Amino acid sequence: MKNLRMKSARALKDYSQQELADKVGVSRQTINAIEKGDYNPTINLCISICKALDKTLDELFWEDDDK
Amino acid sequence: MLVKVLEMIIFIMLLVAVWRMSRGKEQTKFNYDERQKEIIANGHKYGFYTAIIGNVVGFVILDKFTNMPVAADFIMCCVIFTALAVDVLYSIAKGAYYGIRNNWKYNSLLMIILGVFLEIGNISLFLKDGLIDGRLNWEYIGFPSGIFVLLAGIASVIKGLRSSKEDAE
Repeated sequence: MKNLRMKSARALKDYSQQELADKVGVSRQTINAIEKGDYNPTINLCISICKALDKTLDELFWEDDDK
Repeated sequence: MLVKVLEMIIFIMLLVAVWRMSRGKEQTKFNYDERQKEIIANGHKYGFYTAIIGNVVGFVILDKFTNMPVAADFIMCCVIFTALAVDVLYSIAKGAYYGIRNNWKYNSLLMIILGVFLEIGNISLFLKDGLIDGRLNWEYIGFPSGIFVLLAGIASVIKGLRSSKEDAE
């Protein structure tokens, strides 16, 4: 599933994928894969991304329950 | 025999020279991230299974087609390079880059030049001496290895161009 929340958070910070990748310490393709939903990051990577984007884990990575 | 040993030594010296030249400003230690490590591990797995299957196919070919002008050592070399190709091409295609320098253009060019060098060397050997003992044997190992390196170089170019296009978007 695509991670549009992460993409929006990145856009809010005006970061390119490469800039976010550099901050987090991964490749640009990995950030792209996470946003497209092609890769599930480990908890450590999730935490690093949240710190870089000033968001919480819930805001970026928690799947919404059906109400 | 001495000529071949000398050729091998010169080839190794060329490789070392290229490696030394690559230690320039852009030379960066590769730090694969978690996704790339997973890709590399999967590449090794697929290469391993390709080698197993290739070995079986090789044995069947050798057993059933005894009159083929191909020696067992050449077939096994082909199996090895096929398995390596699966491993490396998978990793390159998925973005776990293989190279000695953190620059896809440099690495691609190097691989293509090396592949062409290997192919030309073996083609010239074939044209000069024909099939030694009437069969393809280990002396023509440059054919499959050259194809493997060429494919890796071409895959690297394609992946590099795609990544550059994505970077621009």
